Amino acid sequence: MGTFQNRDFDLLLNNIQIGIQNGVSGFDTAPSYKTEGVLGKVLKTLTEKDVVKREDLFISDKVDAWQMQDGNGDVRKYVKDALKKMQLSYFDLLLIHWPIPEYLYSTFRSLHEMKEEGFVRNIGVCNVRLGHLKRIQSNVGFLPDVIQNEIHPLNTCNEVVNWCNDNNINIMAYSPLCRMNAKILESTVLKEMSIKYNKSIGQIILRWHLERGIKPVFMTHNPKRIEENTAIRDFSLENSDIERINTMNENYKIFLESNGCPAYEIH
Amino acid sequence: MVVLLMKYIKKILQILQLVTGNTSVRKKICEKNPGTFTENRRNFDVLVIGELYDVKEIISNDKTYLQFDAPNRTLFASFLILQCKFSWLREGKGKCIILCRKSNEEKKNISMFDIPFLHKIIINKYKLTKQQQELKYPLLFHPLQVYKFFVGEKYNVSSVVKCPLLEIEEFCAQRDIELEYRMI
Repeated sequence: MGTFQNRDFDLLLNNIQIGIQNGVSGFDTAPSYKTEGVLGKVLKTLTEKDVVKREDLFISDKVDAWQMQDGNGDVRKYVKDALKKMQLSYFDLLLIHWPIPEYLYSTFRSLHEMKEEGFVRNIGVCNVRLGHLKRIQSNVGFLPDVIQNEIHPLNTCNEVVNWCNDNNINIMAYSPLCRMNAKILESTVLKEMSIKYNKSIGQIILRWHLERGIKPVFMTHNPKRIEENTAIRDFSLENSDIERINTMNENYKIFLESNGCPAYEIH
Repeated sequence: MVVLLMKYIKKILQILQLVTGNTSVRKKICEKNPGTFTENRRNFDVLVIGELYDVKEIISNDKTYLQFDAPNRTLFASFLILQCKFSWLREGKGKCIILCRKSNEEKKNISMFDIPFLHKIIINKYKLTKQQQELKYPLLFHPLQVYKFFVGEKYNVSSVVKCPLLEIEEFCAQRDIELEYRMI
């Protein structure tokens, strides 16, 4: 579950509790979301109340562009600060938020060192193309454990998804429902599948992610929606339906890459 | 006593007017930068960056476009904006038109009008705090430029020439963007 634009303690506490009750174990934040503190407080409350154990949670944070620039790639200080803010001893996953060309490799090396020291368990990069992954491999010598991209039916990222699946890189999708864009809501393909499987359009899309080996990171303020979004393990999509959704791709992104990462490399 | 009080009230009102005037001008300047959530359209055919220009003559009606224009924008500033905004274009088929006055080709100035389009790391890199402050009070710092921005006449004559900044050509080639440079 994501925490973007969800800074209210009581609301987040309630939603995360419902998420945990419905089998969600991963919670995602970033410095730019300004939710590290509140998420840490919520998780501390829940672990102290024995609602959940720390080892059963998967907590991911990110390194933002300004931190990469400020530390010239050495982001250890910010990660230590974030752990303190969240009252944690380790992150299950630490991601580079945007692959800023000037600092990508040095930051990734810094993340790798932190992984070796144990206070970060897995490392990764968000918003990547195949070219980034290949260049990370050739420049730094190893690949990320995880990538997190904006993936949904209007932006299927086929090339990078296939490559990551072939190279054992875990894939997370943010904005997995494309914020229920009108093109999604009005899609005949999705409407037909909704009737066929007796599931909502949102459930169809989230299931489509799972079928492609992708972990969707959804975000909602609505507790009912959490229950709906997690009730997707009792059915599966036929291959032909997965392919039909794949063909909806039109490279539509909510979060434009150059907005988050000046001089973004597309190849 | 009453006269003195009236004087003070008048002064306060003038300051208030100046502040609110600046706020609405700043808002208008920032509105040129489309928001991720407020603008639903994507995959534009053309991106127009640079000097204030009437683009009717240079873009055909069937093309979708976004225009980021401001008075006296330098070629250097246009390049920085391109770096931050090119993803609005249709990938593989997008075109960028840069419009610049001959006198602004060599200058490296970045103005308060450029700030809303630039990423934080570029603002940090070029230490643009002065321009950020100016954008808070545009009427105070650049009244003439603000006037030009809102009611100044737009250019409508230009010629397509080779872009004098080779870096822009390379940048566009690496990202499959067709570049058209127009000198005013």
